[in-house]
Amino acid sequence: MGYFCPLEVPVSHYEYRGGRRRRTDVTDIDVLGIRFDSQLQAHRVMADCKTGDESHNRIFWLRGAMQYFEIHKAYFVKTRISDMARAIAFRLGIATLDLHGLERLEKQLNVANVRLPLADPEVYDKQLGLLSTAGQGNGGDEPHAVKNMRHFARYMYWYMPKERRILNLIEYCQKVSPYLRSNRRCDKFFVYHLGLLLTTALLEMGGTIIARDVTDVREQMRQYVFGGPMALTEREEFIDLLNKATGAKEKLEPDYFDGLLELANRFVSFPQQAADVPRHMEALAFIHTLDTAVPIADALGGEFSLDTLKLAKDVLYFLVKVSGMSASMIEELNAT
Amino acid sequence: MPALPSVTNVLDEYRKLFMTHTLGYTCFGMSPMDPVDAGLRSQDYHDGLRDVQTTGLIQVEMARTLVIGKAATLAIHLKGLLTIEQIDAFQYMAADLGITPLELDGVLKELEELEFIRVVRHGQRITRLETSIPEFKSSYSQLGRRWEDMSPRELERAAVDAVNSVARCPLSRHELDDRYRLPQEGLAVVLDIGSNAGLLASFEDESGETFYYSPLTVEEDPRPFVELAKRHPTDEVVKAFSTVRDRQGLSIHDARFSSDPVLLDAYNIGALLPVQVNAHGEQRGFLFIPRGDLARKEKVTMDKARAILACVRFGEGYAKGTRVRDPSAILRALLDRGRLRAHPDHPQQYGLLVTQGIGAVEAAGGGLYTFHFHDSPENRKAAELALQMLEVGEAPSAKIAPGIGQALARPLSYRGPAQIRGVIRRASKHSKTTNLFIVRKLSNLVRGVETG
Repeated sequence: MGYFCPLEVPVSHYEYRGGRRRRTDVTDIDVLGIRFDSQLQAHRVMADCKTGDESHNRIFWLRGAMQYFEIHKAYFVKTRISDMARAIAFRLGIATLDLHGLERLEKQLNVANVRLPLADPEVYDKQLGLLSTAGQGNGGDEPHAVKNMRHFARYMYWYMPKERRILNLIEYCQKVSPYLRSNRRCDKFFVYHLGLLLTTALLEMGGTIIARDVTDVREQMRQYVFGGPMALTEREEFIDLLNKATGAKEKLEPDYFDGLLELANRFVSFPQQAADVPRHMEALAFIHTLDTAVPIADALGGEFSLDTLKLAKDVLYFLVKVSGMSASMIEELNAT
Repeated sequence: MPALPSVTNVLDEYRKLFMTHTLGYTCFGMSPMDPVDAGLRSQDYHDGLRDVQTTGLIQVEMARTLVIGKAATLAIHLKGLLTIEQIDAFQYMAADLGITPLELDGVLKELEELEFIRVVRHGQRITRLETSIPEFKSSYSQLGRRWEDMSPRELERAAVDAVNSVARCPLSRHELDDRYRLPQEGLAVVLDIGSNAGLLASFEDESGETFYYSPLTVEEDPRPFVELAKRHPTDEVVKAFSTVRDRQGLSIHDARFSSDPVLLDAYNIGALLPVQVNAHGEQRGFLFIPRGDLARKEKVTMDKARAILACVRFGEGYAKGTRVRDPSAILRALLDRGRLRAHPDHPQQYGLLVTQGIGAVEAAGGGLYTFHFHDSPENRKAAELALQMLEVGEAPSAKIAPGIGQALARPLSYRGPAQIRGVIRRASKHSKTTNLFIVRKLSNLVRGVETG
């Protein structure tokens, strides 16, 4: 269906208690799918996969979760679904899938053509395992930067306002890069995972730029990443005051801003190609770090695009460069 | 704490020291070139020498400049593309642009070094190119820096700098001698090379004094520009023309024009090109630096580019209602969307473009009008040139055929331009002094003497 599924997206709530920011797990989404259309507008689906009897309550919960997470479509998946549950789900705009329904949908969508083991539980667990060990070097306590990065990638990224994701992600990557090694599979997988997060953030920004004014990408991007026109003005004034007070010559835009602008411009100039970058990036991760022996051109069931692959590589090369990671982290891309 | 000098500054100083003390030539008064200028002039040299059967002198002495120039030319054509799979077609295109298959690897290497492209290979074979030519940052600046990093030798540096200098202001032979302090034959070689590339020409005034100018900035008659150079100090002429270069389409009502006696003089004697926009019963003039060395068709496109930019400048300064804040956004809107949002002033502001067949104005209701761009290859090229004039102050790709890069995006293989014209390569000519220079160099080689 064109969606990519970020791994393990927990839902957290942050509070400021006792002088500290504290996180509380609210719930978790079984499956979250995100797809970007040709105008880079995000469409989100979620699936709730449950056993047990309490279907009706779960369906009502699902409706609330849809609203909370701005989900466009939800699937309630259960081995067997009662008629009443189906009727309630229908009234609430939720699709129901029992076992037969799921099999039928998979056939209709030619899921078998997608040669990546996306639904393989072993591969899924392997991915989680790689993420949990990335950046840990040769034993000893987990470095603080790695701990923070992991927390950010797992929780903060999904919780914070979208416009703050890009700069924060890059900042965390810069801090964690000294701890990532190209000879460790988990670290390489982590880089692809971070690439996917950056791609998602870039696509969201691209969608906003296209919706507002695609002919002035630079200004729209500045407004987006710095929180809107008023916040941008305030930040510019703050930097100006800071420079006057300290004699510094700081700029509001970080050093990598021009490179980020070029990347964003490519996304908004080629939105149809850019929209499918996440799935191509997933495919690259599977092929280069999870031993999936499939040619990249065959991995996506006939939906492979060289232009999209190129954009996916652009994101990864950019991320590696601005983070200060070694180019060898993604050297396999040179021949891809 | 005082800031430490950057690595680039330190390397620049070392380079200057190295050049002056070890290579046998000393070039006083020649500070490092502005990287954008170095990039632009390199492309000009490649352009100029494409149809010239060059001698060993030019190929050896200008090697770095030519490879950067070829890289610049290729980069312009690859702008806006993502991937190129048809490598054969790409090689044909490169050859059409004056980059032989033997040279192509070297040129691609430079573009890879600048991260403008990625070359995907399977073994030795190139299977694909992935292009990322910058849209916002001037690629000429990066190309120019790369040229500096290649440590061009004195002669080459002087040849590039000389063209850049005389393009800004004609210089007498005496001034060139003073500027470069090359040995007698050195300057003759520089002038020869520039002349063979069509970038340097000489003009003898009534008193018999020879002035050197560049056809790049003289459209037909060099006399006005030479006259200007005689009337005013060189640095004032350079500064005046920089004012217009930095703001192509400068309004004659702008204080920067009216307060500059050199610009006023240049306008009066015809050394600058004005474009008139008639709107709201007023005539507004907008000034442009001449761009020479163009074929007739290229001149037509260049005229359209100036008309487009003049109209946008009008919108910036004199539109009734909301004025243009970002001229480049307007030009990009023309190229990307093919139209401009409704505005009450469009019939007045873009009337010139309508008469030139560049677009049409349509009523949108409520006293508003939209401007629709006629997206022909020539008009598109004109809009791109206008954007370049806005961004780098020049139109470096004025001589490059429109749409050639886009041809690579189509499934049919590119085999060459639709009109196949035979190009007779003209032989390069050298003065006696240059020939003597070549003979001396070869003789030293035979004797085993270091020539530096």
